[in-house]
Amino acid sequence: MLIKLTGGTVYDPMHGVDGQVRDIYVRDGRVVSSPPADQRIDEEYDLRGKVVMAGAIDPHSHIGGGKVNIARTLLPEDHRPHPIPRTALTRSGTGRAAPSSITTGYRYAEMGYTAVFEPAMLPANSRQAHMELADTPIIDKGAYVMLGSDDYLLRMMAAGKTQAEINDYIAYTIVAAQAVAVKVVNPGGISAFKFNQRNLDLDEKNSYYGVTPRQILQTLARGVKELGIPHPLHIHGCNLGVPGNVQTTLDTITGVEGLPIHLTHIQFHSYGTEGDKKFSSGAAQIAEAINRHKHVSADVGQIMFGQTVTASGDNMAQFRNRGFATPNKWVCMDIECDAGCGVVPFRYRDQNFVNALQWAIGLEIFLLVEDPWRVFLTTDHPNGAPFTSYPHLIRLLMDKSFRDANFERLHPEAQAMSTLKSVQREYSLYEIAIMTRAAPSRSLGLGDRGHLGVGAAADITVYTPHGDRERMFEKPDYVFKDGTPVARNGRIVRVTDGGTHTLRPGFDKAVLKPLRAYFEQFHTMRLENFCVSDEEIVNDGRGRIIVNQLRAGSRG
Amino acid sequence: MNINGVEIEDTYAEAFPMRATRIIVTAVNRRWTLNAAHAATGFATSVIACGCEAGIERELKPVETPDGRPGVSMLLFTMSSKEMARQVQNRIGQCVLTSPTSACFAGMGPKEGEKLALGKNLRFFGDGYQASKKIDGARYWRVPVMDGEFLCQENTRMVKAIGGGNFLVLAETQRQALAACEKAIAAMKRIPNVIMPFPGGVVRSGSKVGSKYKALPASTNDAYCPTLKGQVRSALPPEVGSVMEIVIDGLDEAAIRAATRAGIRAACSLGRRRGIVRISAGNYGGKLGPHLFHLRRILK
Amino acid sequence: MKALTLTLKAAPAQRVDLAPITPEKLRGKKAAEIGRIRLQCGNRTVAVAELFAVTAGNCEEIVIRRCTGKFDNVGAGMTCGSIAVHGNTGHRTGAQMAGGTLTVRGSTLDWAGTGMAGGTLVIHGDTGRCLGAAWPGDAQGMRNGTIIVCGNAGERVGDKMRRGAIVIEGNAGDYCGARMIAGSILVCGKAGDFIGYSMKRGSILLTRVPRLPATFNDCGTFEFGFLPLLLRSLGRLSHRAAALSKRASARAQRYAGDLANVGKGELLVLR
Repeated sequence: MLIKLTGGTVYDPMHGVDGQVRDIYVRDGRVVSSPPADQRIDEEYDLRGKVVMAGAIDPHSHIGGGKVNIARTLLPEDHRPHPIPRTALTRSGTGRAAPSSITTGYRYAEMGYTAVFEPAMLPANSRQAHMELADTPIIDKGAYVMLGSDDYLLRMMAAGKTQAEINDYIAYTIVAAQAVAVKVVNPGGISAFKFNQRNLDLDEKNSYYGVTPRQILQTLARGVKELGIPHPLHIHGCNLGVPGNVQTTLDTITGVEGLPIHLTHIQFHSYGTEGDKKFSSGAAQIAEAINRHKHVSADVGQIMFGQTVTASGDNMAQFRNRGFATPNKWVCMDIECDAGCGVVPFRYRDQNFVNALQWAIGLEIFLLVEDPWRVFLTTDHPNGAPFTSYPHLIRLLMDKSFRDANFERLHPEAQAMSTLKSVQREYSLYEIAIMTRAAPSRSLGLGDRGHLGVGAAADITVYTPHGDRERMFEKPDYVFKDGTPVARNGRIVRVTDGGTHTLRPGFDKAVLKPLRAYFEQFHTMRLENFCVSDEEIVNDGRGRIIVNQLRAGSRG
Repeated sequence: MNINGVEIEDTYAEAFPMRATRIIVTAVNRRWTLNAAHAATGFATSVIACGCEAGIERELKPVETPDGRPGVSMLLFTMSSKEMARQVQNRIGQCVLTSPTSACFAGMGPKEGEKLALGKNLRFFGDGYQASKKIDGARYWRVPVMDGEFLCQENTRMVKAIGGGNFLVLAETQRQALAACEKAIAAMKRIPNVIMPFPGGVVRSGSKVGSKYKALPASTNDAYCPTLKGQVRSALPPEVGSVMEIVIDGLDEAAIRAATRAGIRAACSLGRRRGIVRISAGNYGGKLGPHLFHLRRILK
Repeated sequence: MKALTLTLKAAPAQRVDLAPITPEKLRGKKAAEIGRIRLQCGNRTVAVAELFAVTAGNCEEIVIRRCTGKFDNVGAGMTCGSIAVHGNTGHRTGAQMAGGTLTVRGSTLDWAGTGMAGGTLVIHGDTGRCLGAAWPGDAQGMRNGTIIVCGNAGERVGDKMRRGAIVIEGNAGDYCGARMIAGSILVCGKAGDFIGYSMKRGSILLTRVPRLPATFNDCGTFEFGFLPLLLRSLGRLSHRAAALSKRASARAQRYAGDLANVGKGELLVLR
């Protein structure tokens, strides 16, 4: 079946297409070159005057895995006022901050997103995470496996194992957990928390293993590079949310010896200690460092005002913030000795000095980082705000007067501490297309996703241009997933099942022997049961495994 | 103007603003309500050195109290709300909490004036075993004590009030002055919303502002001391041999006027024949207090 | 002005959610508008007028006639005014109500007054389980207000109750006052087993000694100054409480517990 998308204004940064009117042809879920003139077109969409982009990609959104479920369990308040009734087509669900997995898929697809990545999957939780992702319809999924505070890695590092041995362990874990990248959360800090350390700076030793966060970052970043994992080490750094952590973040950038890294929700890591309240914006320094260091990319983790829930593996930070829990309940727990987890419900308020400044810091970073290829649009859903606020965030980036009007509603002292109003920049549609499509695709090595070149998967979103960018991005006219129209005017018209992005780095089977012994001695399950098999994800055709390419030159 | 031959001097009492609260104390019987109330309102004659002026407003029958036991209503007056908080906490804590079988309640409506802690801080005496009960919108604290439980309402209310209403009884002899004052106090005790804070309601040591001794802010009112008649510029006519004063603190001007009227009438009922010469009042020339009580106008 | 009256025309086949019928939600609406309000009925919705004959009247004062146990959420979330129900009600009667008076001249099913935050709920007949209890997922049950049940109550009266008062004039089922955080429960009749199970604070007032859990200790019989105040207050709504208030002295036997939890609660057996 041949589909023709006629006359749309195309933004495809991967191929340098910046708002040119083009026809796009789709056959069997792929973008194809223009067929001969006599070829019969089965279906034609008149997209004249419309904006056409690839389906959007969210590289960091907590949509599955243990802590999201804990957040759901913790917060009936999030569900009861927000019931989502079933329709003839879609199933029922609840929730805003931590919506049902099914609802998550619908909402993303309705906003024109076609791939979303769960950034914090514990190896021990990977089966549950993948089952939840399997319940997230339409969109493609993938997960980053969390390493860095796991007992086994810290034991290896403490025992002085070689990088090659550690690389085997990383590769094995990626394969076993069916992950697409490696994430580290508060490197070593989650483990240190369990040894009663309540802070862990970059060069502070874990009191039990004697390993520092810097060593962990270097080891993992090097392993990721040597294994040819496309996405650089995904770093949730030390000292999240601590005033003055801008220095830690700068040290992290310079402390990995030029290895490629991705700093996630960097907004939470860009705080200074200036001013009367000892809390200030470090956005300018961070942006300057990112501009200078080409090996670094980041996503922002913008906060938005309103009720949400923060769910993080960083039990140290979450324990620190427990006093801010709104409503007043929270969870901090260990998970299988592999890592930890903290869930703290939170309400960001524009009349709160700190929250207001956090909002401004996030936007400052967006606007001061020059290269949109290295800064991605996220709210760290649900930690900064639910992902449904993306259209609002896009408008803030594209519309200075709207941004200023919002800025003027902030806590006055926060306004005085921020330079946001002096920033003139407004993102263009092309830049938005970079940061929400091309850049995440390239960073994650998704190959045929995030662009509209011939051979690309036909994940396509069509918008009606509108002066109010929030309205424009809220309800795309059409969303195609693998060539199938799944949403129309912001409503689901067809429910499909997405695939799961994975990687298959090679590893020396010798890694299995000590691991098996370790599992027998310490774990709650056998090594064989620990691995998530392809069949589990494929699930009789409901799911699909997408194996992405490793970077060239790796030993995979 | 005169009543029963007693001259009512054309003068006025000068009073000043204070803070006041009413607190109800109940106990197993009348005797123990009075024990608690006398202790709580003891040493409270004058704010000059006592911190507050306090007294028993009246005794309450069981049907009039929140818990259906005999009770007493007390009024406390201070110069500031801060001092009121301190005085209430100290006096209720040391004199009512300690008094066997007692319980303590707010004596003012929930909408009057401003909030004043009653059992709010005393509850900590319970060392964690205190328990609260919210009944009809008011919170009560149950503090375990050795005779059972001390029940104390969490808050009462404090209102703006007036202190320093007064009149002077000028008589021929000390005995006659006292008899007149006793009659006056008996009549005034029936008036609601006032207390007469001095011992038995009567003060014999009226003062003037200032002293020859630098340390003292006030000293004896020599112009009214009969023994100094020949020595200083006395305000007393030759036949006056003794002067006593009744000081009135009240929740409002009307209450003080009513008490003044009842008191002077009762004092004058003895008449000139029994040695009551004149009724006067203490003032500072109208400079200190915003409230002036003209005797003749009150008695008109 | 007369009360707004809804008279049931025919019993519905499915359960009906009556939460949209409260004084504040109907304020300013005309009878025809009220008739058009959609009510969830099973897996579809029906208009009020399909189920009820609507007689115009003062929306602050709602009367529901011929109500049956098929109607859930009667008076749920109400904050003011009054609702008088003639007949029975279903689950969650007066759930989350924060003010006003809800009177059921009949019996209710389970979860009456769950999460209640204020106001008065009077049930002339019996009530089911979990009266004034915490809805699953909630940290607290009833948070304020008063519930009077003239008949009997099922299990778990006042589960996780935080504040307020419940009077059961008849008997209460098992786990009465379980996991209570604070507040007062008066059971005039008999109470079932596991009374005060895991209660932290709060008072359960009884007229006879129940089967005591092992984790409650006898403290003896004393005068309790708050009892006359509490009973007199409850006596304004409950004639059994009023009778107790007249008859009883302030004396009660105190059992402290649940010592397996915080242990600052008490069972008070009135003497």
